[in-house]
Amino acid sequence: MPPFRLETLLEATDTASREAAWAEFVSEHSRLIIHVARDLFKQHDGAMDAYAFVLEKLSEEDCRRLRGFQNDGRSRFTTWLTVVARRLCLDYYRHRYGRLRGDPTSNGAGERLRARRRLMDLAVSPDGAVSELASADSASAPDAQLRVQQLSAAVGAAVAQLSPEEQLLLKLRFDDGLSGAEIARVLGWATPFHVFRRLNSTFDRLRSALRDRGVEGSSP
Amino acid sequence: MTTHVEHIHLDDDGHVPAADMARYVDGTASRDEREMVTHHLADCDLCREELTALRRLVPRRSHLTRNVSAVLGAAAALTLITLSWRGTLASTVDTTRPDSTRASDVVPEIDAPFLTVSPAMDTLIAADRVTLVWRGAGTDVTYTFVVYDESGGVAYSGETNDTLVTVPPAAFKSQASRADSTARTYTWMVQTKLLDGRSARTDPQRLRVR
Repeated sequence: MPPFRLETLLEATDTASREAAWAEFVSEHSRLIIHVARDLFKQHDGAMDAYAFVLEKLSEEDCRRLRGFQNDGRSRFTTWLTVVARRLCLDYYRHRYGRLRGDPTSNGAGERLRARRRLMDLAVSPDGAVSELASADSASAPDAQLRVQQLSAAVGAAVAQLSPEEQLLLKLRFDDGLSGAEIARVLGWATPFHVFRRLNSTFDRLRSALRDRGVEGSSP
Repeated sequence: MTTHVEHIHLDDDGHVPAADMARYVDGTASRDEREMVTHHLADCDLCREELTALRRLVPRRSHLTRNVSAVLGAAAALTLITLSWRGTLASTVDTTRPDSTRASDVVPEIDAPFLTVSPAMDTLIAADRVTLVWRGAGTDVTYTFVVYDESGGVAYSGETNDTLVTVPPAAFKSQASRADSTARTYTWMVQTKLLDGRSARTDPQRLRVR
């Protein structure tokens, strides 16, 4: 049996051939779509409902979404379909349950602040002095809070000077809290060793940039 | 000092378009495209979360194409059995082709090979105790297993979602007809099709059954 061809579905001229091509598409790619749905919906019923939702959206308006695939030889259809299916599953989730747990638009300010302080500790003062300053009572140590704000601004400016890949690396490590192994997988690097080696070189650059700005440690 | 990066054309929701994200995941984005997506990822929590999930959902790309696997698979099993080999043949699951768009200090990841686990090559086993075990190739995967006898005929075959199968003694029924207890040699292998359409096959394994 020849492999399924997307063109057969998109170029079908009559109802019968379109329905046959759609049935073949469903047969060929249902496993993938269910796999994606299960990643978001741990319960079977939720996953199957999401799967049905994805199929409905892919087929509507004469397969409008499927026609968005650029068959330029650079992309694998299955990867593109995984991206689209996951986004549709997220739409379904939000439609059914509201805001997704862990949605960045939800209140994560506390965790972000802690992540920024961890980064500042490593960039400015590995002994954790920045965190100590930050934990000082704001009413009794206004100077400490001012210093933390100054350091935060300096670190932010230094981070902005890094390459996009280094900035992404820091975001994955400190904002998203990923482990070295997880970061290696996300960025497509061979081992966590590559991640930590790059992190070390990034911090060397950060510290150098901070020294250029006159920041040698947590003290003014 | 960061270089100026042109922003990619984001979708209506202000995120990486599906096509660009797919190329990024597949490693087929150009250097400029990759840098632009990376730049956006550093600022966008949702797109970073999506990339993390996609790395979990999408199998790693391999070096040898499906065409090569298909050619190998099309060769008759009898041809494979009649080949004489020493040690283990190279795995049919491929290594990752280096991505020229990546930084020069990045070493491409090697896919874990699709391997048999048990029994080891040339193990002598009683006909009523043959359980074949292989390494899993991912989730939601169906495996096709085949056991060939010495003449290249199929002694036993089937499909399973598990990573093991117990071969019924009847599959080795030729043993029962033999007057002596000399072990007979069989060959078994497992094939699977991944979600992205790639095929993977274990090396043929010799098995001695008495």
